[in-house]
Amino acid sequence: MKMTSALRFEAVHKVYQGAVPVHALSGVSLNVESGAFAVIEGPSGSGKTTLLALAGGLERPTAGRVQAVGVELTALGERRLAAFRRAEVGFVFQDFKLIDVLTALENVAIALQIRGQRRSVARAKSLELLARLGLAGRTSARPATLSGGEKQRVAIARALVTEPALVLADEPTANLDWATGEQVVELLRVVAGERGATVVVVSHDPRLARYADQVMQLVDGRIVAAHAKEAVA
Amino acid sequence: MISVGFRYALRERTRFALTASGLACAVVLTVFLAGVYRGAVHGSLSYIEHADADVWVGRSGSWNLMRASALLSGAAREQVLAIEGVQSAEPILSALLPAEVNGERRTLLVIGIDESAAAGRPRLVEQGTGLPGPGEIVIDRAFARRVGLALEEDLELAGRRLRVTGLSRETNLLVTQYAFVRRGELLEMLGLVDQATFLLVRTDPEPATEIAGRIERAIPQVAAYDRATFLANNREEIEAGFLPVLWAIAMFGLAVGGSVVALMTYAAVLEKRGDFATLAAIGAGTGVRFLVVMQQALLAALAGALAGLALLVALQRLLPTVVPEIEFRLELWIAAAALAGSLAMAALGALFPARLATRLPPLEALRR
Repeated sequence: MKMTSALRFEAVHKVYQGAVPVHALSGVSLNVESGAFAVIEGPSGSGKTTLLALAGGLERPTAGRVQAVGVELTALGERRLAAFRRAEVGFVFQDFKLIDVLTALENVAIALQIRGQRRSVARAKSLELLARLGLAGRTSARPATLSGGEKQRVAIARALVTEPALVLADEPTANLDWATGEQVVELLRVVAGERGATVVVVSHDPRLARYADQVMQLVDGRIVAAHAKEAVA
Repeated sequence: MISVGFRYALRERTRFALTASGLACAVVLTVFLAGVYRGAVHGSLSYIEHADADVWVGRSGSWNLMRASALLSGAAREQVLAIEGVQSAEPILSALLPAEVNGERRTLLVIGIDESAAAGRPRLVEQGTGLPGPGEIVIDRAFARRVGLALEEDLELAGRRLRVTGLSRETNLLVTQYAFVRRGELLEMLGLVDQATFLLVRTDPEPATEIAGRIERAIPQVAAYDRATFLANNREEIEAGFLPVLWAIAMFGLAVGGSVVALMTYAAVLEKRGDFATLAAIGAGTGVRFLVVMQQALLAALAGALAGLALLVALQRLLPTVVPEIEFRLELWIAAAALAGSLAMAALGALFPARLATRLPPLEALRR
């Protein structure tokens, strides 16, 4: 069966201009299959976050082409990029980025409300997903009272509740202990899989590779290795 | 409705309270001046409105009561009475005179009225009589309270001792107050014989405008105004003195209020820039982020305006005791305008911070 591509980079370069130009990405080409759970590993400063920003349409490449869920991002203007993000992308951040004045439920529901969904519908969908992520009893809690693992699960719920085609996770386990991180990643993989979403995780932690369908290694802005699931140890 | 902005505002209670207080001060300043202005206008015009005159006749150039100094001769009354459609013509004499009570000197706008006068008396009398007898004076109640005068007590007007026999209402012009004495007595004080400042004319059955025109055509060097025109003349006189200052202070008030809101929302946006970037990254359009900032500004403005208005209601009750010569009228439309103005200035003040919030790149959400 021929797999379709959810994310494709073709000879992508990203250079940050300054007194000394910084080459964050140098000719990166990659392909993430639709529905896959892909992990891009690399040390700090290897260009992981830049890669994620380009994949989510938060930045534009200096050269090359970026295609996500069939959309040529390099051809889109700012407004259409924002619309693309709204329609197709869910983000999970390293430091959770929950809004501290909102409850766990509201933090998830807001993602639907800003897309014009009615409050009651947004809350119902959010409650269901939070329950699926094991947070049924914590929906009224404010972020300050949640543990790291709970915060990240709320963040995952916020990313998935809009049913995006592509979920981009930036170091989702970096602020968690390994056991909690494992649980969170497993939940992300399973729940995103149930919803048919493609997940791209960037991380410096090589242990995440065991959950991945595809693993790529990024060093100094270049993909130095790429493996499909069969090859992952 | 996403209430993130309201939550931010209420979360930072001290900042919110300080902002609302700043706005409340701006509202109090602006509305207080507007209310004092309305009080002065009301005090000035109420007497004219209720003086029982359809037409006011004075010397040419005497177009309002406060600034009229030219006089009509005694013969003018007979000439006016001879005009068709004139039913009666009551002379009044007005003059700004110094009054002295308990060592305090004040200036009063003294109106001299005849014993038989049906027109020109103060209409609203709180205590005593509205028609002074010889050696008597009717004074405004605010003036009486300010200088501590009661009925049957004396004051000195232009060197003459007069007994207070009545306290009138709605005769307070802020800068001075009306007082009423016998015209004959006032003529003596001024060294005059039978002159009048105005003749208060009752007409029947033709419209006052027509009679006023007829008077002006028949008698040289005389100006005649129907009641509405004379009221408008007097309003114009007050506005010329008051409004430019009032507008200037209102604008300063608005600017101060707007700046306070701008400062609060700007600080809030800078402090929460990560949240705004996150909102952008998770799909919030510029409209949502703009609204989040505006919510904070509008909530602060609403709280400030309501607090300011509550303070003004209290002030309205307190002022007659503390500063009786200030007649402060908190009218509903002024309160509504203050509320609307506060919201508008808050929205204006929050424009720049709101634009900043909409321009924060979503990429910032990925920065740590």
